[in-house]
Amino acid sequence: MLRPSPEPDAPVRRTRVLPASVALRSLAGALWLVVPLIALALLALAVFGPTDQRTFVTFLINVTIVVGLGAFAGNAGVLSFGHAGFVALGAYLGGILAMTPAQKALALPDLLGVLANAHLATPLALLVTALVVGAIALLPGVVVARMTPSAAVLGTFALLVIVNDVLTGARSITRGNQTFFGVPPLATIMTCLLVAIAAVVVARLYRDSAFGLRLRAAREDPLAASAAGIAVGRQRLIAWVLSAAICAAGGMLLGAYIGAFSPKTFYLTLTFQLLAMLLVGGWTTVSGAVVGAAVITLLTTFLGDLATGPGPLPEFLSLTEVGISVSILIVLYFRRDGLMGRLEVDEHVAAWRRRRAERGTAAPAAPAPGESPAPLVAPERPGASAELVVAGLAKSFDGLHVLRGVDVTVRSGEILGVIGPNGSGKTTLVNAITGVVRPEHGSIALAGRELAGSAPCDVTRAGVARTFQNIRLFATLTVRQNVQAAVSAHGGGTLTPAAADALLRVVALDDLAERESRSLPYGAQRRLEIARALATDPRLLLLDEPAAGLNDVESERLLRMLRTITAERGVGVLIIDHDLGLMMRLCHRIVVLDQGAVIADGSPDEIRSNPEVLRAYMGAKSAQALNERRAV
Amino acid sequence: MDSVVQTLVNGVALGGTYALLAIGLAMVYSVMGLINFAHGELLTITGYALVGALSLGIPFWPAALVGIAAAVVAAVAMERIAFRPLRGASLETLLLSSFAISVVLQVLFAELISTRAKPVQTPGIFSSNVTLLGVSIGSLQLVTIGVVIVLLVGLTVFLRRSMLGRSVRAAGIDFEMARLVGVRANSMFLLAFALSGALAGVAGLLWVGQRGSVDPSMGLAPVIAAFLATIIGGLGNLSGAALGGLLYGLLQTVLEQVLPGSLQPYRDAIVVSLVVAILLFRPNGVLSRGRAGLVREA
Repeated sequence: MLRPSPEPDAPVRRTRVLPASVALRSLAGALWLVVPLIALALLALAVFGPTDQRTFVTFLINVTIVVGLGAFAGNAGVLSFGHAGFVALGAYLGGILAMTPAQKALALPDLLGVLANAHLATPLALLVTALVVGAIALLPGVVVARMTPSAAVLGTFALLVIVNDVLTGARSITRGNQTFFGVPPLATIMTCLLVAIAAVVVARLYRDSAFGLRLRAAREDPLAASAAGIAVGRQRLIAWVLSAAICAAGGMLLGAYIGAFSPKTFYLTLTFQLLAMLLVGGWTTVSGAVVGAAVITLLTTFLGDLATGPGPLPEFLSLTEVGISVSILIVLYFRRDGLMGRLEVDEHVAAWRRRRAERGTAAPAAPAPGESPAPLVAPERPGASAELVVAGLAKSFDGLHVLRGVDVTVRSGEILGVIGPNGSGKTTLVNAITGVVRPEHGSIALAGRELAGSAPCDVTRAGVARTFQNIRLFATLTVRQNVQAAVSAHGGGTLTPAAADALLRVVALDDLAERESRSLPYGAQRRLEIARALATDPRLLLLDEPAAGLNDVESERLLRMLRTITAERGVGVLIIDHDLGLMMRLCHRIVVLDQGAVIADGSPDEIRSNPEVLRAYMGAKSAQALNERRAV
Repeated sequence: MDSVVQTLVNGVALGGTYALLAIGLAMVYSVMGLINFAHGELLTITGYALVGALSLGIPFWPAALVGIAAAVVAAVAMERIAFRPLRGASLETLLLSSFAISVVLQVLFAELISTRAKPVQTPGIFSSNVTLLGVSIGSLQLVTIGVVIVLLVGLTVFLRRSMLGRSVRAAGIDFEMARLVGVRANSMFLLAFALSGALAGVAGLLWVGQRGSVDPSMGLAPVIAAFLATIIGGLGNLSGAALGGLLYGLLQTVLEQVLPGSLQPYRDAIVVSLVVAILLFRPNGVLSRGRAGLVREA
């Protein structure tokens, strides 16, 4: 089939999850955390006494575990109470793998088979532990991925209970409630440092990768994310497994470091401490996890010394728990995003530099020229090929028939308007085509491929993108990231930063690429939604009231923009709007819906003079007004 | 036959206790989006208030009322002191602050009272058996079932018939809309916490009756069960929570009877896994789509 030539400033697509340019920037960002860790380690080796060295090792292990926890919780926006379970599994499995068979014969006489005889070097034991626990995490991960965020939080809690119970019950492997001992002292400063650095780097690379970005987008708005082609559940599962693996490696170190432990060691108290570190630091960033681990480790050590030392205070052994609780409450009351906020250290620095630079420039730059001010020409006739064929589509809600056998076709390069009074089924039509609601009857074929019954993200990947009547952006992501999070219908790739900026230029937003999208003015938010939809490489674009709330100038600008996009990219457009004047000038063809059925289908001129439309939809007065306007 | 009836009665009694807690959790969740981790501490507070009142020479039944009143006061105080500044915060923020409050309370109990369990002298009705139709049944279990039924019926009537109750239901369906039509937010918060405190107080008495003692972390096991019950029922759905609590208690009791000895240590893991399996097919709770419910039903 003929497809029109691609856009002139063709964005370069990368199908890779982690393009080299992104990876390099991400690694450079991670250096802001890695360098201080190494410097502290050198300091610890050279200067610290044994007590302070122990504190430092605790800190490194905490960094590993909390960064692991944050890789899921922060990116998915689902707080997990279950990760202490992965820490526990790591501690037991790693311990058993690292112990000599002789030690195991002493401590765990009932151990069987490969576990009894295995004796791995530390790096290999860490790797195997991470991989095995990651694999185990798949099963609960599938469940958590299916739940709504609120239910998922309690689901992770269920996981913690299950792991604790199983570890207590499996006496031959874990000694049950009795103390597990005999793990060699492998948690040296060097080992812990290397593991912590690996955790930080992996977590940061993941966060900045296409997968991490997609998951963060889904955290902000799951529905919009699936409309941008993101398979939300799958992205959550990836993060879950990765974070379980990191936590297990940290757990192995923790077990070896404390030497003797039982399932209770990894239950609510640990869960509480881990969550405290994550939230105090700021749970959406790797930097936050590291800072939180530092603050809480120092606080715990300090309060622990205070409670047991010969200080003035009476013996109050639980001072640490109270201290952690109070610090959590203080942070939550006064700085809900945590000490680091929502940005990584390097992003803070970049934002600060940008603000300083902006203050330096005297006058604001001249407004963007926008699109060429060429006069509007009559729309060209579209090609003959039918892209989308909707036939006999029916949908009812609780017995109310919203769509009654709707037939609509859209050709490539064509702008089809759908108009109709409120409640005529326009938005339901868009929702049914995009898989948000499941139609009861009828077929939806895109270039011959049946889409009815597909999930929203699969519809998008087949080539149908949409915008929403009430704007749904990924609020805390930047303008550029909003576009980059979208998944291309051509093989699932995403846009490089440069390609994203090229696309943003099409909607005149390239100046604002670094801005948080929720801070954009209303009209710009509408245009960003269109850019995000275009980033999926659609064959068909569904626009649900894109001009709603725009003033005349903005509407005019939108109209030109849509013309350009349609002509240059050859996409078909199905547009719903109440601005009849705009629709008449923009659309090649118009379909009129009334009470869930198509009552007219034709060119704007035919629609204008169709008596049935005049009667059913516009009413006599509006029809007259329209005729007068046409005369002017 | 005897053992089957006994198991069922025990299961319903245990499940009923969980249901009282779960309903309280669901009620608070529906008005302020808070999953209150410190709910279990209300049981503990009931227990200690009971112990304290008994040690002052107050007879058991008035002392029990003191215990319930303490739970109500504690629940309202939690709302006033800890959760009011966090209104409108995210689920995570609220959950973690309630977690912190729970830890602080447990530490305070341990430091100020004792880490060891305090025995409670319960009246004979808590430990005797009665014979019904030839089957010997614990009278505490029967009392529990009776109390739970009375409370559930009372709550249903209150929520359906009284203006205040209807406001709570409206707030549970759409809190913002309820405010717009004149339901007062503060009184809704107050009422939800007070009711959840009262239910937790009753559950606490029943729980103490079963254990015969009070210790700082006694609230943990039942509140975990109640959490899972609220997920089974669908977060914020009151009838779902009651149903979930019953189901959880029954599963626990039945599995205790039927599981072979080698699997007994894994009993709770199996119960929780079954719960999670339910969630695989109904990710948002058994009653998530249904219209039945104290709150949801029109």
